Order: sequence, then structure tokens, then C-alpha cells
Amino acid sequence: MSAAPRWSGGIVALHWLTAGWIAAVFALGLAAARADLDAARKFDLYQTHKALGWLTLILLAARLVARAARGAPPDAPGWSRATRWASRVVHAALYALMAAVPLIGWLRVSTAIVPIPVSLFGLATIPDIAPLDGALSETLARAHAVAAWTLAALVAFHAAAALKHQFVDRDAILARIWPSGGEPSR
Amino acid sequence: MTSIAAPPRRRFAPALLLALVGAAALLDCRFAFAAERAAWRIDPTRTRIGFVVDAVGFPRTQGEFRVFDGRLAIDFDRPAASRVAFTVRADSIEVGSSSFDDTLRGPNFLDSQRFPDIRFESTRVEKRDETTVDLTGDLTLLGVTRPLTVEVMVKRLGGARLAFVARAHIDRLAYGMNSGFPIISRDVDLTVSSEALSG
Repeated sequence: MSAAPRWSGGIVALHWLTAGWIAAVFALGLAAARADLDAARKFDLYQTHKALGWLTLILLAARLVARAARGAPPDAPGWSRATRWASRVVHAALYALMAAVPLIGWLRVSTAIVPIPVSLFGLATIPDIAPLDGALSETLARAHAVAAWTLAALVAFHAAAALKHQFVDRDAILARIWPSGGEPSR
Repeated sequence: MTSIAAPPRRRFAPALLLALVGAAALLDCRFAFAAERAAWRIDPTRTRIGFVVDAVGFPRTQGEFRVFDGRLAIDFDRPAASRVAFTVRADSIEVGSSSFDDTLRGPNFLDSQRFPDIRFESTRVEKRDETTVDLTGDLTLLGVTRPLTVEVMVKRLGGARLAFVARAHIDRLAYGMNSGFPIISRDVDLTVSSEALSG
């Protein structure tokens, strides 16, 4: 049995780490914005969301470096041009949004009227990257939410497509990113 | 004075010092008032210096200052002769989250490293009715001193205990604490509830 093409171990690990990380950051952001909490709890939720959200940029950078170094497996055999094209567009959009959501958040924090910079749990303070601008900050807050929900929708689509390939098309594409040892049947 | 100034030989310098202090005390009008005013000290275990600040799109923030010192000199017969002085440690602020506390202690808000103390000293006391006095004084916050009027409800608890609740509205912009305005309200509601002990 010849080994099927896979993503490298580092990329597989980073993919799932990023997935869990972003889900947590999204849940924290949603709770911070919507939950009916007292000021102290809300402050802590926002600060944790900001710190973990900023760190997704580091995770993403590591992932891009790993991908540049180790490359991607070849296209799945038997995919139509349309499927290959759709896959590339969705993956490019996922990368773009994974960068855009935290960057817009960082800009929103930097321009906010209430000056509370991103703090990495008291270990380091991330500098602001733009001057204070209250109106711009509110626009960025809305853009941050729209981008985050778009990313959530795209992640859902990405996961649904993976399940469709696994259980309807049975083309074993999910095995390429599945952690080795417990991979789905090929 | 003469009897103090004429102790046995070679005790002249300390005796002169005592005489000077005594004379200064007699000349000082405030000392004369103080003889009729009763000194009270606040009971820290029964004192709470709380504040409330509103913000847009964020829950109302409530907190307190844990470290403070207060001195009261009260003349019940002549309330106008009473005096109150309070000092609060700015870095003793607590709102229920250590990172929130650190933010409020930081340079954008209390700047507690540069301005460790918040002080209030009364300049005028007016009795409004049997239980309420209006206390006017100077509040020093962030190094800026501005007049502040505090409404104080006083209740004698019998014995040597006195309960009071003081309320004031502080306009933080007047002290140069502009950060976050107008998202964070300019008005800070301050409530001091305390018990004081005589002597």
C-alpha cells in the first residue's frame, strides 16, 4: 500500500490547534459582547479575548512559514476544475480572514476612545498601531464582528465540505489533515 | 512659663523648646478650637469608600478603595467648627478584577505611581438639618485641587460611636482624567459609609 499524500505533521498540528484556538477566541468575543455580566467579569473576558485573538496572528504566521517550508500535497485526483477552484478560493479566504479578524481587532483596540491596549496576561503589552479615533474605532468594531461571523460561516462551510468529501464522495481527502494514528478510513 | 524655663542648671535648651511650643500652642487659634472639638478616628473595619461609574455599552463599574485614613474633629454644638480630612491610597482601588484594577491604577486613569494619594480636606461645614450636613472642601486628585461638596448623613450610635454616610459627585474631567470620555461617563458617584470612634 503506497502512502497517500498528506499534509506535514507540523501543519496538521497547527491546523487543529488554530481551529480550537479560534473557536475559543470566537466564543470569548461573543460572550464578552453579549453576556449579561458585571463589569469586572466583562473586562476580563474582553482582555482574554484580545490576548488570545492577538496570538492567533502568531499561530497563523507559524502556519504560513510551515506551509512555505513543507509545501502542500498535490491536488486530489479526480476533482473537477470547479472543485479545485472552489477549494482554493475557500482556503485562500480562510487564511485572509484568519489574518483580517485579529488585525481589525487590533486596530479597533488601538483607535478606541477607552485606551486599554492588548495585554498578554500581564507578561507583555502589545503596542497600539493607530492613533485614537473614536468614530473609526466604532466602524472597525462592526467590521471586526462582520469579519468574525464571515470566518465562522466559512469554517462551517469548510467543515461541511470535508464531511461531504469523506462520507459522500469518499475521496479520502480528510485523511490528509487528520492527525496520524487516528485517521478516518481511506 | 517661668517655672518651666527655670529648671536646674544646664537644662536651658530643652526648657526653651518646651516654652516655645507651649507659647505657640496658646497663640494658635485652631488649638483653642480643638480643645472644644472632639477628635474622632474612623473605624477601618466599618468603613467603605465606594464609587460607581457608568459607561456606554459596558456595565456600570462599581469598586472601592481599600486603604485610607480619616480624621474628624467634630463640634456638635457648633457644626461649622468641625473639620474632616480623608486620604485615600489611589493604588488600593478594587473593582473585582486584577487586570481591571491595574488599568484603573495606570497612567490613563488614577496614575497612582505619580499621584499615590487622593485627598479631601474640609473647608466649610453647614448643618442642613438634624441629621444632614453639607461638607465643602478641597479634593486633590491627580495633583489637581478643586472644591467639592459632600452631603453627609450623620447618626450618633450612642456611646463613642458615630455612623455617617457621605455622598458626592466627582466630575473627573475637572481633574484632568479625560481617558475614555464620552464612552466612560465624566461623573463618578462616590459613597463613603463609615463609623467613627471617639478619641
